[in-house]
Amino acid sequence: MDLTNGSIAIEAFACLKCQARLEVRTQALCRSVVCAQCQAAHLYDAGSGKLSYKRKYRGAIAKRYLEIGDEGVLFRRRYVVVGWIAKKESSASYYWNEYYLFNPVHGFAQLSVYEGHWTFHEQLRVYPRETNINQTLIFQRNVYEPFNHYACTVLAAAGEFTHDIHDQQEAKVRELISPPYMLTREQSADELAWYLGTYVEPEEIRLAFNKTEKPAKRTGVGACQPMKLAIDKKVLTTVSIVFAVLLLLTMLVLRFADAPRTVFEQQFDIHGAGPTGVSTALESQSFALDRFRNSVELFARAEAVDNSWFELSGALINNATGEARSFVLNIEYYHGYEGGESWSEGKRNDGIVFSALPAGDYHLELYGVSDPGRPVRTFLVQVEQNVTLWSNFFVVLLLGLAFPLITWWRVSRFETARWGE
Amino acid sequence: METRSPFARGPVRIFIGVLVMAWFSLIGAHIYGFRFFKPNLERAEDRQAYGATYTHK
Repeated sequence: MDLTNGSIAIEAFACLKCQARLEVRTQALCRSVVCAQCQAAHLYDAGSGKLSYKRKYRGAIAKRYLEIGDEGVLFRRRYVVVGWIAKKESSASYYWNEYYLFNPVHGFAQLSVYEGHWTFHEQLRVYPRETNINQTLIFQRNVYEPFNHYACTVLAAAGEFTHDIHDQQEAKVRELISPPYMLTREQSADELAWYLGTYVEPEEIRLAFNKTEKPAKRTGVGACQPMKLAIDKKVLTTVSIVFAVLLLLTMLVLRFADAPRTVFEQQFDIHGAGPTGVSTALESQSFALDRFRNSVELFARAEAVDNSWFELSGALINNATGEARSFVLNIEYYHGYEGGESWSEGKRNDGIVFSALPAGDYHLELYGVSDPGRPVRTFLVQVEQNVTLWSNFFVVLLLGLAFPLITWWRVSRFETARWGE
Repeated sequence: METRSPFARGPVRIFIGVLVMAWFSLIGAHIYGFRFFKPNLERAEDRQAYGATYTHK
């Protein structure tokens, strides 16, 4: 429905000061009209249909994005802009714009814009139950935090209003937020009103009013601007702790209910080394891996390593397919006594984990090389199937907690910016 | 007065969904015997082809 094309009757007047055209769309609901050109405010008597000059405002101080008579669809309702007011906080220098919207069926609404942040306000028919207004308030299942309270002054205006906007001078306003919503309590000398505001993206305003020019860029964080992908910090903490505990319990259950099993253990003797110091190939007995896929840890221990080193290279070979996984284990252990203190470095054992080994019979092929000064004659090799992969636990924990940590940081930054405004 | 649970909000559901997937991946990795970090899938032929081992521990 096009509101300006016949469905709303427009009554036209001439400004009593500058003769500019003044329009009244709200008919009997109109109480005052302000000239957009000269800022002369008039009282409107719907009964007689006459204007009477009352006062003059200082003048427009801000560029208006919406003009009187602009039409747009917001929240599935078509509104026409009937008025505009620039207000400032009485004890501060900043100001904001409020656009008054009218729909003949749904009545009035307001659009406020500050620093490029738009909020759509509708007067509430059922007011929130006030306990202590300085504290949190619950309304329509949302928890509202007190955000700001101030007295405001009208700086400039244009269009028509259902009240004498001068009566709003020094109106006391309290704002409570639960992004993307805002509750506003406005108390003037003879009226108390509550409004429910909803944050609107600037692009939605542009599209709603079919404007080609983009609205002014946003600066900072709006009072009730919702953060994208925001999660309450308490929820983040609770979910993260539950996740970490669940992960740990899972690992413990897997560790004990599906415990690792030693499938191979053999002591090898090195009888001689070739000219390069590498032992002849040592071949192990066969052992079976019986699960569909297996995590396997190969572990070697050489007790004879003492202030020396031992390198064990080789391959884990599938008897049936011949597919081999190669490895190199380095065992080195050094110790001594220096400057009144004993020290040690390295270990007499080393191990390696193989992933996702298919079921089958396997054997090992090994080559040992040791320090020529302290040759290793014997070493132990052990193979465990179904090892507990604690590194998986830490990888999943880290990935799982990366999102809450990043979100925590984002929420902190966003909220600091919001409350710092 | 009843309030809407903060756990019912969209991003929280996505977050919990991601965590549930991570939990299932942990179980799946255990069943499959797969290690996410340095899985050591190198084959001996690869080692010969590259000339030196790149197997991690």
